[in-house]
Amino acid sequence: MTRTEERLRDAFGAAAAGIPDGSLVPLTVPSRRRHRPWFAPAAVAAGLAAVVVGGAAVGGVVPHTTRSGPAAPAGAPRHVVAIRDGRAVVEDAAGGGLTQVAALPGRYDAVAATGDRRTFFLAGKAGGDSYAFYRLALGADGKPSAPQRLPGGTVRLDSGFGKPENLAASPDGSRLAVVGTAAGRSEAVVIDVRTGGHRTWSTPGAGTVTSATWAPDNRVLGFLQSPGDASEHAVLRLLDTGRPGSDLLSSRVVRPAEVTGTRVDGLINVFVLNPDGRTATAQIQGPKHGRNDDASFVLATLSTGTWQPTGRAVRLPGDSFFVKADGSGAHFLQLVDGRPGRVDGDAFTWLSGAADYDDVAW
Amino acid sequence: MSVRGVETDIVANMRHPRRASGAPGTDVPVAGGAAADDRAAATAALVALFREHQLALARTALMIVGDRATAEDVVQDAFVDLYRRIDRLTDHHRMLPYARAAVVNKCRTVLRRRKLAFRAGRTHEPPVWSAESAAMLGEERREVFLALRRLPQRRREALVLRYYLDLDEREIAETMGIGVGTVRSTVSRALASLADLLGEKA
Repeated sequence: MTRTEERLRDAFGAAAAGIPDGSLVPLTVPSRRRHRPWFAPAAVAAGLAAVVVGGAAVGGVVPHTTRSGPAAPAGAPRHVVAIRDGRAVVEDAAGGGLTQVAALPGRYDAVAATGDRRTFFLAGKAGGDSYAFYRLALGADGKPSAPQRLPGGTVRLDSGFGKPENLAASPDGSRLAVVGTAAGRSEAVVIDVRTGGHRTWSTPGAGTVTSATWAPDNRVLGFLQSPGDASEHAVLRLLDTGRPGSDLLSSRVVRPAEVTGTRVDGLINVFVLNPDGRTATAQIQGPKHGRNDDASFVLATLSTGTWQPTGRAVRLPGDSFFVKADGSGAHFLQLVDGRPGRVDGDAFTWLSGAADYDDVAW
Repeated sequence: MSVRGVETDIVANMRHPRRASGAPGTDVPVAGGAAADDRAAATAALVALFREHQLALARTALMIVGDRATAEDVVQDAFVDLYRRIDRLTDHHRMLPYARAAVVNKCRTVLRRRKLAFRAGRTHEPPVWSAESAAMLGEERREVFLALRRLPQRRREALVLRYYLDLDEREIAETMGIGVGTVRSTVSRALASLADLLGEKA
């Protein structure tokens, strides 16, 4: 347990003592009203409404129904592969909302797309902290093939799969990257999908490594490194996987995660290298403001020449730690507290009211 | 909404399920009787849950909203809402997750109202992290609460559920209505931010 965790538990324990056992008032509730017989049809209708509304009122415990927004823009991917409560599903995004096309057997933790709108990779627990990887292909109608396990064994990852991204597929689908920590070392593992060969870059005590993303050359791997030492700052790095060596910190620092400017200002939580090779898209958390320390979140474009913000900055509804581009680089997926949304051009729209999405890709 | 002073005790309803169901007398149709029995069983389970978890849930709410009176009201309101939905709470084993989620949601509502009050020029000083509380908690612990208060609301919730209630990731996900992966990253980020604010290593 870290010092912070110790202090947190201690403070919670002390504050909890502010409400001593036996000092609380008993529960009282209003009496129920008796319904007159002629109210029955109205009561049935109200009851049905209450069942629908009540599901949401439980507070996200009961998943919201999928809802449709405006139709998806032309040229946007039609299908997504999502992980919902540990299950992989294919959903149709053409109507603006998400409609399930197929559910896959087995349990999975993460999904990555190659950008060809057909080939996807899944990561699933293979026992303990080890993960196995699977490839699947979608037909034009979204029907998936059975997931085929990749050769080459498993990858140990103590940090597990969460957000920001720990899994990324190269655009040509030939390589998978897995970043995280294993046995106290920060690691990036690149898996050759065809042979199952693994190559690992690692370093001890480099903090956390997240936000894996491939450049369009299928060779350079981008990631975000947040140092374990609070006095240092998080940085964006690029690792040339074609060069010899196994030191993760031999990768090039391209910029600090902190962005300062009048238009875009804040901390990069996650980023993707765009297919055009000239830009990256980053989710940036702005400075806290107001009495409740609210923060604004934007999706901003960075030039990969200067690594400075350029072009648009799309306002997001909340803290997502998530951005995934499609193969064209014009459409981005978002997950905000487990709820999927999309960014097309300058607009964010929700894809669903459900908040049980662990991961999603297109 | 405060429910203190209202007329009917939930325990009384448990003792008189037909009164709770609105079915008068003893000549109740069989189906109505079965429904009343189901409701009685659900009410009894809810009462037992309240007795067992009221304290922990009130303390949880205290960590999120900051003051005892609001925390107590939040838990009362959450259970009243559950009681109103008692006919739909058929799986008694699911009541605790529902109750936790209801408490967290009520806390969010309270904080949203406070935000509006602040915008309207009214101030609110929650005592847990106020200067007055330093005497009870000690300055070091107050520092932790002041740092917690600077975190976004969902990160604060995740830390309270993880480090006060000791919930696992799946339980936290269920309570907050978010994915397990999001819980992991939220807790991790929250700890890192907290460590940063406290000038410590995460």
